[in-house]
Amino acid sequence: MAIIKSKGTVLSMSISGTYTAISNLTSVDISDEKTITFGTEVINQTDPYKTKMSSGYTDPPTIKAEGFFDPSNASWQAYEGLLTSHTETNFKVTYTDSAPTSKVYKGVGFGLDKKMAMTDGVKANITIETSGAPT
Amino acid sequence: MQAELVIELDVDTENLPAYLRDKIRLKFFESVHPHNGKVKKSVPYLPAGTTVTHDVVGYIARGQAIPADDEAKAACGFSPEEIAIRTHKYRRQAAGIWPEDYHLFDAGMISGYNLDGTYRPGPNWAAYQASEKTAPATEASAPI
Repeated sequence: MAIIKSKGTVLSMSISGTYTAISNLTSVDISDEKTITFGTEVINQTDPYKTKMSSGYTDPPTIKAEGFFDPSNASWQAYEGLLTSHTETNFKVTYTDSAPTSKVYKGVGFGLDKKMAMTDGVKANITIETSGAPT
Repeated sequence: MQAELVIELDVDTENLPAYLRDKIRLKFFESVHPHNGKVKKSVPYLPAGTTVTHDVVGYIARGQAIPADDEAKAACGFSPEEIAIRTHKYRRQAAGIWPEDYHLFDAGMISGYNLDGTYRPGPNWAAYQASEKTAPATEASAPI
């Protein structure tokens, strides 16, 4: 099993029908993709362990990325524009394996935090709520 | 008004304008399916050199294209030098170069990363190797 390095991973957003890499990113996190279960314990069971069953639904992931924010960069400007337009937008993560493998996520909710600290560059955190299965 | 792509771009087929659909090409790679074994997968893209007539100024501003006619040159308002800087920066973005290595890509020493995280040589790789050989040895810090 190959161990894939993180360096070289690209997060791109769909702009005008083609994917544009978002610049200056230092980390990409894809989390909370999880099947949803419900409890099936009953009041008269003797086993102390709660039991669960799959509901058949899966929570889609949330993509979080951090990077150095450049307000004049076109990809950052395009992402910022989503906060106003609320346009559903596809995002692609391309890994650094030999293929390279990529996955597309439909973004439906967008967040952008910016931070300016004395001993660091201007940083931004992106949060993308996705909908449906990655493809 | 037209622009010409300077780099191949992966395509979002759901949202691509119809006039570009017949310009789509595919790159193939092998993947392993947990039940079907080795499978061939494809990724759609537009090759470098493709002419676009939508969002022309946007493609130029993002560094993905150069003006292909006088109307595009006038509309974008960038000088040839500014366009060259933008296209270089976009190539760097698309290669996944991380900020700590920008200077190496900018100098042409690296073109990306290998699977194991080591540098993929660029056209000026020999200069990187020569610099490594002649770099002074790091002195150990003096004890406090």
